Amino acid sequence: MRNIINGNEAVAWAAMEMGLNYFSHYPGSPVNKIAPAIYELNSKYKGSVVFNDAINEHVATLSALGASLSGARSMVVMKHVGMNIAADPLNYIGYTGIRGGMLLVVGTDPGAQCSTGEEDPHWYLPQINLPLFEPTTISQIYYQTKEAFLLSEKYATAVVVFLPTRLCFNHDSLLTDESKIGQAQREFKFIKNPASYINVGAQCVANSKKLFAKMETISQDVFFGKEFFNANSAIGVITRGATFGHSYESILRLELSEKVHLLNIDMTYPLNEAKLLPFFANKKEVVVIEDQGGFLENSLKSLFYGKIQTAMEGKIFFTPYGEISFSSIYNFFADKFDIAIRQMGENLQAPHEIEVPERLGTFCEGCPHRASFYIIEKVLRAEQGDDRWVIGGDIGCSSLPPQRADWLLCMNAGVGISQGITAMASSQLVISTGGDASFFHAGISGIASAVHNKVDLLHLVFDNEYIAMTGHQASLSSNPKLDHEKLLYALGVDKLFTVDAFDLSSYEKKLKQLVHSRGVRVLWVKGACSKMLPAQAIKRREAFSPTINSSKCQDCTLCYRELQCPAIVKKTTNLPHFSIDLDRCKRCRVCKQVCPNGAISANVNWMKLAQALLAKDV
Amino acid sequence: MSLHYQPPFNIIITGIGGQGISRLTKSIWTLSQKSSFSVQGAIFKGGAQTLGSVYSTMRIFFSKTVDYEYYSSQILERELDLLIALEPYEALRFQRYFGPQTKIICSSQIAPIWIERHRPLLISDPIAVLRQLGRTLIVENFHQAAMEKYGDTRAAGEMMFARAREKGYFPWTI
Repeated sequence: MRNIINGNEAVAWAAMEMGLNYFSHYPGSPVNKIAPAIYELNSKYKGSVVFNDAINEHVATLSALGASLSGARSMVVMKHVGMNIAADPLNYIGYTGIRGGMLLVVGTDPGAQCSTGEEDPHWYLPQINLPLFEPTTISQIYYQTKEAFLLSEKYATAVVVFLPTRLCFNHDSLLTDESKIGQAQREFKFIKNPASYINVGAQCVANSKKLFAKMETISQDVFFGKEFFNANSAIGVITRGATFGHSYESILRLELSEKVHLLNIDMTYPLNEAKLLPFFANKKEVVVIEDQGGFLENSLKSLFYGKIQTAMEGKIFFTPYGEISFSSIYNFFADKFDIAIRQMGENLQAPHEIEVPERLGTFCEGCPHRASFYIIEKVLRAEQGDDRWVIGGDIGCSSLPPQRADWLLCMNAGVGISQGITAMASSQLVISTGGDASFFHAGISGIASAVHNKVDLLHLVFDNEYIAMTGHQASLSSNPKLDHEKLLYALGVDKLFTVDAFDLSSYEKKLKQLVHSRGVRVLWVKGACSKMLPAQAIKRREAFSPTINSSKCQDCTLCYRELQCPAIVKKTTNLPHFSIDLDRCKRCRVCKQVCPNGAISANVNWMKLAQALLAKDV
Repeated sequence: MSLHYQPPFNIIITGIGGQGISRLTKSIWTLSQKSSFSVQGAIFKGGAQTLGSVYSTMRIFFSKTVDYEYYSSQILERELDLLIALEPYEALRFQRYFGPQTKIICSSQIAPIWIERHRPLLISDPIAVLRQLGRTLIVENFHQAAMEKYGDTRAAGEMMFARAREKGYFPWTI
């Protein structure tokens, strides 16, 4: 079947056709769509994949290893920063080896296009010592994912696949084969192998030795890469990942195909010296073009140190940060070969520098986080009438603008950094925040540590029932078996309240109480993600039609500038100066509670409201 | 595989989350493929669920011999052929891609940049700035038109596509 698919779906198709048995992940862009694609293919074509929506990457990786050691073909998916969380087990997978083919698929994000950071995870590879594939096109993702499974089983090693954002979001038409899904039959059994699986002391060192030998074998046996253009040229270009397409097209377009020899390396760790050496044979100069920190350039320089006469550079021409654009590569080639660029607009003036502010998005209409940050700031302002207060921030939807937290770094930076600040800067009022998914990811350890160390900590958990930013995977808090209050009290939390995010007066009251208490205090704020409640939202829509009353509105702008709900819009004519866009409004009624002049009325349709209340949908 | 450069037709569709950019992109993609053309491109959604910048790039190749999948999915500066912008500020964001051949079709409905609510914007009238750039430009309130005709603003993109087609902005029958 020919489908238009993106990079994430190409991984899913390939894995399913290869008979994937076990899928484990922690969601994160740009690879957040692999899981839904595998769910869909598994359900549509009657696959038998066992899923593990793990609470963090550490658990996700170990469980995939467990499945592999039982003979299953397994895959674990995470984003670049997730590799930090998985780093501990990743350092042992090379020692244990695997049984069923095991793939670790990691989304990288040069330019931080869908992440808080653009960390370059390549540098983990020499440390964890696993083969690395870096496909460059959608069809290569598909075929190399399959190759990676075969390589994994042939050499009993997990294989890593890196997918940069650009490639994940690329689309192409691909011929897939659904008839292969669910066909492979495997027997699952854990077979004891203490020599490989017990990694302590001398045995660990012995396994480390074996791993180096295995990687040496792979580096001699395996090579994935492709050469283009003139092999006799004295100038070589080596690429990996997304920079290949930019380089290929630049060379064609500038008519340099006779002057340049291009090599794209798909398996960038370990490098095959024997296969690569001939490329350098007649080269005076080689330029390595790659995103981020020059991993390939460093690896090549290290591999061929003292063995070739070719001058090799990369990062002296291209930045080690951000995503390298097509234009910058095109201009590099034009400069290098002294070609006047024949752009269609060459007779035009240089483009104006128009500074359009970055549009980072914001909380959606009806988002519980908007209510939360409004209340937090209101309470802090009342309690500490200056800006000495501190709000600890966490990543995820609660980090979206209007950003009110004082820092945004990694998961659970709120609950962690706040502990140091509250210990050392005791005159400042500190409130740490984080989502429910973050809480279960590792925030729970932060709370336990605060209890153990008797830290004065006030932490808010925003429970919206989903991992919303990455596509609404269910959070552990949506599990009816979980009792967060019992859990937190069992950890030794001193004081705990659960509040409704949309009931502002109760929220404010409870938060004030906790501000005036001591010890480890948690405010669990419940309010489901507004994107996930269509049925309730429709009923609320029928029951309420909020409006701003012109005779009561004093233009205080609290609803517009402080609450910043996108459904409240500025009018160009007539009083009041603001109105509610009922097409956008989710009827959360937070603006009505915020208005100090009673100018926002809900306009209740009592019949519809009664029906909704009876159905418990409001 | 051809060793000669085969110029594609370059399209950017831009707007904000929730305006149906992904759907419109896939529609044009599918229609192009039905005309036996190859397409290279990407859809960028950013991190926000709604109201963040979203854009897609499409490069449509007419030649049957082109090894299109090796081409870049990005578009070179000044080489954009058609911009479909569902929001004027987002249209301006791609200004460096405008060349003399660029045709722009833009909905006039402005979505405020939310983080800027407490401070003045450097550009108060993005449509006026867009007009000053002197490209072939159609600016209309396609969102209002979509609401009036179909009862849903999300049909604005399809109406803009239809207008571009009617104006002959696509170099083939689509």
